[in-house]
Amino acid sequence: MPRPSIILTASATLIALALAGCGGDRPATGAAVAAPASSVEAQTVAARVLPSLVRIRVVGVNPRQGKLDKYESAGSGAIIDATGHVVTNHHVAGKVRRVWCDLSDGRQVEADLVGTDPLADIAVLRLRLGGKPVPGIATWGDSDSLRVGDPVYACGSPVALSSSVTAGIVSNTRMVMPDFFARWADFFAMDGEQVGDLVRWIGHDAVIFGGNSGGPLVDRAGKIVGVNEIGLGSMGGAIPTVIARPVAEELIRSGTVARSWIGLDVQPRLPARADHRGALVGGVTPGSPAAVAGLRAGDLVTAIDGEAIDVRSPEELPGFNRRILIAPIGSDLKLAIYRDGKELAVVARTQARGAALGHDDEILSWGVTVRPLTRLSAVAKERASANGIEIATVQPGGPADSAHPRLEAGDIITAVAGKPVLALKDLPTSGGPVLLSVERKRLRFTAALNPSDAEPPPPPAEAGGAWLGLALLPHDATLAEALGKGTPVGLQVTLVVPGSPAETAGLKVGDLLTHFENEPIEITGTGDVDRFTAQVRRYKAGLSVNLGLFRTGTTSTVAVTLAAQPPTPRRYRDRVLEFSCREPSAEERAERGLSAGQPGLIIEGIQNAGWADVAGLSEEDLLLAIDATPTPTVAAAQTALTAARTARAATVVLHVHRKGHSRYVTILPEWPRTP
Amino acid sequence: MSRPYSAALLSTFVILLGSLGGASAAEPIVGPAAAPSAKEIFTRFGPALVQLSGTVKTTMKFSGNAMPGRESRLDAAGVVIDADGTVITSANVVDPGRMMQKAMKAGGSMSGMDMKMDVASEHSNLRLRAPDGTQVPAVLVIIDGDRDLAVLRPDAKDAAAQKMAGKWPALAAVATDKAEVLDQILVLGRLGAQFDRQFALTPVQVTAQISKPRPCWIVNGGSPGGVALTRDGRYLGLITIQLGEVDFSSMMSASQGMAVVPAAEILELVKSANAPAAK
Repeated sequence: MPRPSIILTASATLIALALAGCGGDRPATGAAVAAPASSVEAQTVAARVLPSLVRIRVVGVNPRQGKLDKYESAGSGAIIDATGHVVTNHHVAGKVRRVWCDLSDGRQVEADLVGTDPLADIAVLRLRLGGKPVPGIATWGDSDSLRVGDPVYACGSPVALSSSVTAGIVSNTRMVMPDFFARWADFFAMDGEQVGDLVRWIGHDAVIFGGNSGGPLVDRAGKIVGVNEIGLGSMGGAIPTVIARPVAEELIRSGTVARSWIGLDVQPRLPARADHRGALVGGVTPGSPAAVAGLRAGDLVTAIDGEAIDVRSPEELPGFNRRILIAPIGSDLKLAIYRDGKELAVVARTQARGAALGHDDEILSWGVTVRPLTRLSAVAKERASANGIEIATVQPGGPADSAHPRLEAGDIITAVAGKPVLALKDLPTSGGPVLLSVERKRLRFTAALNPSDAEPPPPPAEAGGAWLGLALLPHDATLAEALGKGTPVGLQVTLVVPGSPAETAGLKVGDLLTHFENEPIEITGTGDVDRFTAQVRRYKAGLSVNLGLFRTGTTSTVAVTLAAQPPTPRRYRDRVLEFSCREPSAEERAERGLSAGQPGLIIEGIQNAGWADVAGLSEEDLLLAIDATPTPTVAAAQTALTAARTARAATVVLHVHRKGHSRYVTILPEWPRTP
Repeated sequence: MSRPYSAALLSTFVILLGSLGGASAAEPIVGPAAAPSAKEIFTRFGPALVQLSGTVKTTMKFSGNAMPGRESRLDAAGVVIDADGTVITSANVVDPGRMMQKAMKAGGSMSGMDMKMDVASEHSNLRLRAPDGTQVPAVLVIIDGDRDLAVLRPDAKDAAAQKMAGKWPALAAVATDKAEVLDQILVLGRLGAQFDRQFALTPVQVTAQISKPRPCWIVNGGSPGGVALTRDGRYLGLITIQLGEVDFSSMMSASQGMAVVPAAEILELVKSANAPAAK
């Protein structure tokens, strides 16, 4: 399960190693190093910032094997206005199904995602305050005023612990991803975006850890100068407010960030072109504004709107990119070009850039996750048009994997029954076979898919076989020797199920089984009990078998008439709450000391990050009641859970028994949308 | 070592090759007159070998700690044993996690540490593919993990399955043939998708006969889910895997044997699958 904060921490490992020895651009200027932070200053800063700090707990989703898999994660954020907007990272809260925030005054409130921007790795939440005031508001500072050596404070919830403040200094004001990380570009990408294309991080040594992601980096006045994003040990990286603040404000305003695009691929100029300044054009997207303007590979862009450009190193690329990205959509960019020893002037009219990748969605009846094409993802696939829906992941053996021919990740659905697909709603999710027009790279073909959203069938019955009704443990040579008195090896009876063939035959706890059907029972040290049980199971019910017995120093042979194994315990799986429960077997009832008729269902099969898991339900819990209704049987549990689902209850309260104690577990479900 | 056909007169396995075109089931064929050729076996028994497909989600817990579940595509063969499409196959083929679980239970230890592993499987999108290419949804009715048997049926709720009811080309078992140690028998199976699922016939030898607690023949080859036939072309049973102990300290070597579960045992399981509790 990906944990964003950990992912970024891992990324930071490489970054930190790679940047060892690299410095920022400002120390060389001889800027005065600020006085070290004092504990009084730290206390003042903490008093200013901590009230606005929130710990964020999310249930997010990631596409995997044809479904949006949920995961649970945590991060940090800061309240930035009185209406309850919280700024954090996209990788913390950008792909959430549910999000809760712990406020500094002890409240835990649910929040909604206002907007998210993977390119800047910034997201904004809004707290559901219910009319109550926020406990504090953080204020924005000026990241451009930072100098290497300035004291800074990192605030957040490392490892999801409660709010913390750590102190450090600015180590670097323009930390970038070096060129040689390009080979791991896909690993570093977030929803197809490379944060380093836009962001130069504030490097600092205030200790941060997974869970600090999204928390503010503040200056000595307690103002936000960055949003922590990456970190390892003593080295952290924060997105400067010069980037984070306008993005957050635009997200609050419009829910999205509008950016411009002209279709240029730019890189630092080559050593061989050291004779002339500029940004080297590596390529131009066919049909793009840059292509229309006449730009071509090998050109040097020397100025944009009259401002001189020089890109000598990767550190200078984000600045160039930003200049284009923040230009108003539809505006004319005046580009000065150096080509073949001549200066040229061209104009490129910007277009809306859009996201690198479309929003992930799932079609359960197809067994796929899909995403609409965007301008950029279409370009990456060398397609002229962004029309169509891309299959991102496929459930093995699911309807898409069984289509004729099979669909694969990366396929693009361009039409259904000849009708062009422009949006997700154009894909039918039910009915008979669907005829699809599909593109796979340069291939074009038609496929037939049969949507199926049938619930998984109940598990099959297990063939019974014979049954003794005993719980056993190995009684090995060491134990036999310790007991002395000629005690043999065998299997010791630890429990006799009431009413079982073993009880009828007079077997008792403490007996030692030495022979089965006159053959000695071997004790090898591993799997002895399972082997014996399987051996018994292979016999037919109704047969009489001989058991060799050692009891209080005496050996004897007991004939036991085997019974049929009790039926497979009934199970119920709740697909919405994402857990299963089953009735305990006869042995389990005896082991747990449950008398006949005493309620108790065994909890099992809790889906990772499912609503039951998030609520804290635990495997092996004994379910006693649901919403105060006792659950002696699976049928009773199913009825109670169906009632909660029908009523779309805000909470489902389970009363469970766990390790000698009982407790209430409150599930906050997200019921499926009604058609 | 094959026995003369006359010695197996009691064998009353019949092959019901139902017409898929809507006509009634073909006349039962009661054993061949002489040792059949491979082509005759393919023609006679092949249609009853159907392909199973679907998704199996396997979740594992090591000493109580759950690992993320993994879904995989199921692609296996099964044998139709009645005209309603009841299919029998190897439980380990349908549920690969079961073999792992069984191995661990048989002798699960690693580097001297006791390791408890629980494997759970969930099947979905199960389908049976008839010889004419028709696919019908199927349900897994019962599993006998000890004898490595699984029974599936077409989903009676499905319209295509209803249309096929009574028309499946079936290998109907009504009694059990016999084999003896050192007899050579044939195993009919299907190759993988890379060979377009062509039929394959493998000669194997009976190496032991087990009578207690349940009868089976141990053989020195064959693939699980395959149809075991006598040399003269009569149905013997189903090829299964009988897993022995696993010693993880010696490079995970597993002692496993292929065993033919006799048809009578299979019928008994199918009968228990028909019992109300298994439905």
